[in-house]
Amino acid sequence: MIDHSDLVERLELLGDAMDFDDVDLAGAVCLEVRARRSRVRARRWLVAAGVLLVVGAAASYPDSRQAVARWFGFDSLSVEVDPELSVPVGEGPFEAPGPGETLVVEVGGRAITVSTVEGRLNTAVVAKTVGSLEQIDEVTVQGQDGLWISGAPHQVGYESLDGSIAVERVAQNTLVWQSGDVLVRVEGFVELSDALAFVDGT
Amino acid sequence: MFGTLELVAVSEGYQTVSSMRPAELTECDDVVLLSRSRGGDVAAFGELVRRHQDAALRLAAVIGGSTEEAKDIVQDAFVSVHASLASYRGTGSVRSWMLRVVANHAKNHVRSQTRRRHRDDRHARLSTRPLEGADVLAERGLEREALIAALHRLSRDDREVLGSRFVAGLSEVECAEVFGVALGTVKSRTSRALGRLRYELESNETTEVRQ
Repeated sequence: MIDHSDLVERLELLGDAMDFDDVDLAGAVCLEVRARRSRVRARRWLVAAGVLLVVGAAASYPDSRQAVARWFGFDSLSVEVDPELSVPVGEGPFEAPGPGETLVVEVGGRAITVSTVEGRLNTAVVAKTVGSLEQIDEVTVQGQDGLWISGAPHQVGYESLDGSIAVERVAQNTLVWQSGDVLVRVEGFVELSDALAFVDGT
Repeated sequence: MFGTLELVAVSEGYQTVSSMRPAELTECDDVVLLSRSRGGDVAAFGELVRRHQDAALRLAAVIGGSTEEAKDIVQDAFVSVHASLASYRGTGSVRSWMLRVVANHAKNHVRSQTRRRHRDDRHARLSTRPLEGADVLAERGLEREALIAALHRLSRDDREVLGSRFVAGLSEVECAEVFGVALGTVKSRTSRALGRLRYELESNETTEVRQ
């Protein structure tokens, strides 16, 4: 076996020479964590106040009771979004909806669609169905391989579990990654960094 | 067994969040600090950051190719780690789990920059500090430049394994956990990558002598 100890030593010296001695990230990280926690608490209070207002209004005006019940999903499976109420997001680990389900959330005033489909992420299939390879970036999402598809409206092909190919037209930038037997798709962010921050719950 | 330990730690964390001083935090192991962080103790998370930031910064620098950008990458990554505390399942060490998030952030950072900046000059931005006097520095500086250039000519996988193993100082087990590969894969990749690094260094020296 060839002795590479000299190379190892040179690499270790390179690490020793990296100038991070004066860096103290703990303060900045803790500051950001506390600031985010305060923002989340403020959002929760706003949402709680909003819910109280809606429920209070429902009690005052019987005609709106049915609408409120529908908003909460008590009387049917459909969910309606109240445009007056902000939706709290980014409060922790990202949770995708179940297979075949779609969730719409509001982030920074934009409607973000989160959906899952049973299938496999096949880069070759995606590459063939997207208009240009320039639109595809390989990314890592929650430790899994994923793709960021941006630019002009595009088609995305998925390989279903039975091996057949399903193609869907997507109008907005899309982050897609494999999570077990399902593909998770987050659609609607302009920047990849924002989509990843949303998935990371930050 | 691990689950029991963790539950005890969480329970203790809730009871003593406000009473533990920074000096006492330094004596807690990582699992206890993580459990206390989950319970809302930001100072405990700060201690985790302090403990592992050096390896994280070096790891981000070798993957991202820039010591300057490494600071921003690691700061963002650690904030993400805090937001994902609940997702730690104890399948590896806390340190490896945190460094894995850092590695993923660094990889994503590089990919997002690829369109804007050509990679050729990236590893030239790994700045280092002087270790010795002027003469030694000059010699070491040239050696270091040649090493950085040779690292840059390697594949991403080779660069990552050598960088994380020897520049960032991760153990073989930690490398396996951070990159999600088997321990044997880390060993074989390291051996092959060292061989290719030697070839790059020697072929470059030969070219310089001819010139």
